[in-house]
Amino acid sequence: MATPIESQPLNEELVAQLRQMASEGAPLERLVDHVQGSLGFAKSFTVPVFPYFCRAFKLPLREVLPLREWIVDRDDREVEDLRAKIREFHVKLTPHTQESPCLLGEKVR
Amino acid sequence: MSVAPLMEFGYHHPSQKGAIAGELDILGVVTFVVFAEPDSPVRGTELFNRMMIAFGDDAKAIQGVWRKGSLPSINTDKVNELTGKGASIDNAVRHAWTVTRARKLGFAKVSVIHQDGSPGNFQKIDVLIER
Repeated sequence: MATPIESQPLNEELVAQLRQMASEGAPLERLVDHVQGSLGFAKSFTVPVFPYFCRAFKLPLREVLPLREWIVDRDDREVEDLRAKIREFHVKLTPHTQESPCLLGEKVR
Repeated sequence: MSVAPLMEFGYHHPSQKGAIAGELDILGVVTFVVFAEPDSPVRGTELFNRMMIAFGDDAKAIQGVWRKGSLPSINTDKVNELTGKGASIDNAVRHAWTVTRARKLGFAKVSVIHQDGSPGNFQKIDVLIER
């Protein structure tokens, strides 16, 4: 039976882990590996990884997309901006930051 | 400071042979990435169409962020193929995968908003596809 194509929710625990790891200085490669490993994905299966970075670091998808080539090419110049934004996120993070309650596929307005 | 997207859409097939991730920003611009192996049980076009249906009339435009790395890039490869034969980039993008799928959904106006490279060898192309 075919799987219906509907938006799937993110694992919020994994989102929190990603933030925690980044705040502890984990390199980008470990962050990607952690998402893929936790979800049981092959290293070549990268698309579902991107929404986790968007959610964890509150970044638009277009700013996360350089990961798509970096995962294969490891050209660090392409992800310098992304690394900086992940660092900035933790600098700006305050104890009052609230997590968005939205799930993938739900409107947040 | 980043603004939360209006809506997000993410789906991966259990076979790990097909997936899509997309978002609709507050201006109605869709950004997405799609992947489908040749033997995927779900086609990239179907994933794209499902995402666009979910976004509905709130989607006013689609931004293509096309990059050429080591892996094949269906959009950039098509543009490079056509511009390598003499087509202009503005004409070539009309034949790219995303643009042809978007056109069927009523997004017919295409603009190249950024390019990096030369005819036959573009590395980065950003397009905006509007209704």
